Amino acid sequence: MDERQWIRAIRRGEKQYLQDIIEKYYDDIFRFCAFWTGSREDAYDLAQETFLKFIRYVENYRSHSLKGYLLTIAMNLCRDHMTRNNRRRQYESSMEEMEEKGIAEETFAGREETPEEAALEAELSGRLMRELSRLPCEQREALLFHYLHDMKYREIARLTGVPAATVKSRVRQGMEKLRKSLKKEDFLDG
Amino acid sequence: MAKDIVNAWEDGRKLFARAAGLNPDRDRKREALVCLGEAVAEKRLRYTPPFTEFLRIQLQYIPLFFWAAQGFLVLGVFLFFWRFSGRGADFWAYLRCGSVAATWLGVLCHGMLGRHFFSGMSELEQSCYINLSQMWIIRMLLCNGMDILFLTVIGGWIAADTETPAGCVMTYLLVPFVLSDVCCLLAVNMSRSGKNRFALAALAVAMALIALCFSAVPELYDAACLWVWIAVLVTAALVFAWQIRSCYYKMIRGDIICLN
Repeated sequence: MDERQWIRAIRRGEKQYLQDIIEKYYDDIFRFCAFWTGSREDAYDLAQETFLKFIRYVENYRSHSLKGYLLTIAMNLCRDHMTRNNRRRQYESSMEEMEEKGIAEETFAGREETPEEAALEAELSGRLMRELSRLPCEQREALLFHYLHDMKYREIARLTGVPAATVKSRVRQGMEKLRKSLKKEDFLDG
Repeated sequence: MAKDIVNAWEDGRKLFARAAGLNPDRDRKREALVCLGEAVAEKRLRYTPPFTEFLRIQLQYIPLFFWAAQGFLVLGVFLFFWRFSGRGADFWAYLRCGSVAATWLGVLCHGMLGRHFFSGMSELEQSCYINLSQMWIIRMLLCNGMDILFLTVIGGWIAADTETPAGCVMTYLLVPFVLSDVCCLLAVNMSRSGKNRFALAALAVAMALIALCFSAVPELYDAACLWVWIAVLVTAALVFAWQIRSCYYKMIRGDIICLN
């Protein structure tokens, strides 16, 4: 059953498909929120809130892409979250907290990798989260939509309400900043 | 492995593909899904039809008399035009017929829309869970859209047959149409009983006579007078827009137009 059929079935009153949608997209939304906020703890709350909003307003859903619709809700919630909190301070404390706890085991749970590989990937994710959180939110969103969720510039433009050329330049500038900041940390020296 | 990760930074897609391994904790995810499952169970789904379905429903409930009268009028005009077409087509004959048809289209449209303003209609519609203002606006758009389309077709026909600029012909046809709309909406607003049918019938006769009188004075259609026609059209359109807005808000409040 594809997404359109799910939504049609939901409109007919078959609620069980709501649960299927949530299960299908939970990880994607969690990942988006985690990279957006730079905090796993906040990502759990924001992912939950995203789906609660989706459930509440599912009758009004008219979008072409269900994932795009959910990501738009998540993006708006993340933006609200940022205005409510002092982003950087909270982020850095959460990063410290994450590093202290040793995120490798839980972050990459379920993947068939050696502990060394898991630790390296966890480090990569941790650094990526930290560097992303330092970018302006428009560039961060553009990078996450484009690279993490494999969306085209045109689709991102539709979601964020800016021209596709602007999205393209945000992605390019964001990526450039990411590279520079990582070189500064000497991470690229290997 | 470390080298792979370093290389990945150079390519955004590879970098994020590796980072995509960031997964929620299984237990936390399970807890979240249980909680969301409860929200799903509590959810009461309301059926909200898409716009196309709204349109289909509205079309279905438009009275048969309206379709018959509209069809009869359109057919009559086309027959008239077809009869005169191609043999030394007379601009004035076309214009007279087109102007009268334009006024009657307005009358027909408001005759149908006026039914929403009858006393007691609001209570009836609200108790049937029908959104009166939404219904009225959709029908208004539908009728006026069809009428303007029809006027554009006959305007194009006149322009092609008489070698008159299409813009001028459309202005001459739209002025009686919009003025008739303004007068009919006023009449419908003033009378909230079945009697407004008689008022509309009288208006149809009066507006047609006025249109015929105007088209009997060729000087009024000189190029020099075109700006007057445009000014009248713009003013009438603004008045009509204001009337629609005021009607819509009166309907939303439900205190002046509809309720007993």
